[in-house]
Amino acid sequence: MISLRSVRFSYDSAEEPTLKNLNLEIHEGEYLAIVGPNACGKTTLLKHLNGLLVPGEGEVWVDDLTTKDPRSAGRIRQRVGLVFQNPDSQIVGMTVEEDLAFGPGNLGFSPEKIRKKIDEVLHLLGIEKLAPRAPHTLSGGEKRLLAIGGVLAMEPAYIALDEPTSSLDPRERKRVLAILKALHGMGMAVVHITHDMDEIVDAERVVVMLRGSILCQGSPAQVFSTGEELARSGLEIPKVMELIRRLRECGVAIRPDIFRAEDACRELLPLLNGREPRRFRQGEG
Amino acid sequence: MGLDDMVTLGHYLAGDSCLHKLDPRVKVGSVFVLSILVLFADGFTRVLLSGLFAVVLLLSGLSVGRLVETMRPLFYLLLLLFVLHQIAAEGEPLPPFTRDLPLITYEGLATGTRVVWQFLLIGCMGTLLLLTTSPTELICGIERLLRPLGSLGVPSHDVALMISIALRFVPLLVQESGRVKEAQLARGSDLRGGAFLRKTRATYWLMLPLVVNLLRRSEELALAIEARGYSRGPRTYLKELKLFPRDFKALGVLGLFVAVWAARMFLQD
Repeated sequence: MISLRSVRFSYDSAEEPTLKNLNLEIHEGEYLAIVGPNACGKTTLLKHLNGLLVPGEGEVWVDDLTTKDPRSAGRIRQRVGLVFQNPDSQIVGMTVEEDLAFGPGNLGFSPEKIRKKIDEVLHLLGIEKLAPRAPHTLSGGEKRLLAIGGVLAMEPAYIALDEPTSSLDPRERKRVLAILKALHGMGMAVVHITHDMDEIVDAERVVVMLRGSILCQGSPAQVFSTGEELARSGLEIPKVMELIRRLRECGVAIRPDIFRAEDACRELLPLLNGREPRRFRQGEG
Repeated sequence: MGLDDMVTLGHYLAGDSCLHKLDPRVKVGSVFVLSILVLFADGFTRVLLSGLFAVVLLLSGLSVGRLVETMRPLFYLLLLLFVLHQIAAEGEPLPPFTRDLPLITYEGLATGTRVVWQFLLIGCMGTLLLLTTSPTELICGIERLLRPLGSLGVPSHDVALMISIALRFVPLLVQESGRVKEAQLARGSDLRGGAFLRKTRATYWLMLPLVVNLLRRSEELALAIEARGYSRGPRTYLKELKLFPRDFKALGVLGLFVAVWAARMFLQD
């Protein structure tokens, strides 16, 4: 478990602290989404998870290790993998394979074990063919996968990603989200930072941040039900939920707590079938 | 320059010759030792070393044309070196020059030729190393050779990582400068042609965003490297190097040349 206890953090140049008395627990194997508008402290929080930043006040514990102790830094970084927003600033190897070997090499794995880890990660991400390629020849989505792979090769128990789908096309985005789901399925704890509400409908728990503290948290349904509060923090509710809300405003009798497309479909179909659906012919309407 | 030109990092040409297969440590070490020999050798040893280089070039399966092509930027430096020696040297002037205007002297020609020969030979050996060794192997070799110096405070892992990052970021910078250039063309700036002053200004506006980006990126990179567990401590690599009989043979040849050189030095004294 990663636990942040009364964490307060300010950057040297800032007047107001970036994180204010923040308490949060991240459990093993959980899928946690952290949402919030830009500059609400999400990335700063992320950097606290593996000791890149140490809180000014309060403490961060990773299992039985505190990030305050510099001697635990290596072990903490192995347990908590961070994937930053810009993959180009985290890839150091001259080929995909070499980059994947960087983390395990830092941990002192034997060459055989590094080889094994690389092959596992390449297979898991489905990028075996890219192994000998130079990073600058990869597409944006492939670079993102490589950045994730570089962290996975270190066998972390927790993986935290900062807007892992930003500037990806829809197909690449789907692929990244599917991989996060798969990692969660394998028992890894996933911390997914985003401001796209449509991406977090599958999360087990959602934390909404605003100006350096936690505004509210709970299951996606609980968080989305506080629609007004979300709006106050500058976030939008998922598109499906927006549709349901407007249908309800028009007098359609439908449950308000629907935010997945599948659920909406299931709820709406009987309503549609009850009436005679208008059939469109080609070229009409 | 197209981006495809940058796909091959450095000058490396993949191949299957015995020079390609040689252990990078042996290659880097040999180039280092031979360069020292070339600098301090007498004429006879220098001729021998030139012969050795010719044989090695033949073994590498690379053409002289390829070598000359790769080394072209070096030629200007060599020319400059030669000219400087003509200006600096004193001695018997070569007709039609007189003692009043000794622009070209016998001594100048002699030392100029010797120095250019030395640097050409070192340049050729270095280029051949780069042409036959992949950057990965090269870094691996340098790192292993530096490792014993760790106790003297030489951070071999840091050096290796530094070279690796530098090589990784060259193509990235080329891509980025292309983007900056396009963005400025799109906003109506004219980067082509024009007077010197305008060109300088245009270059300034091109460099400014590049440098700013680079600084920001280096900060992010440092953080990411830290996050991925890089530290001062011992680390391991995917590829561990192993010496084969051919490497010992190569070292034997190198030893022979060192012996010849040492013997000549000894006899001269």
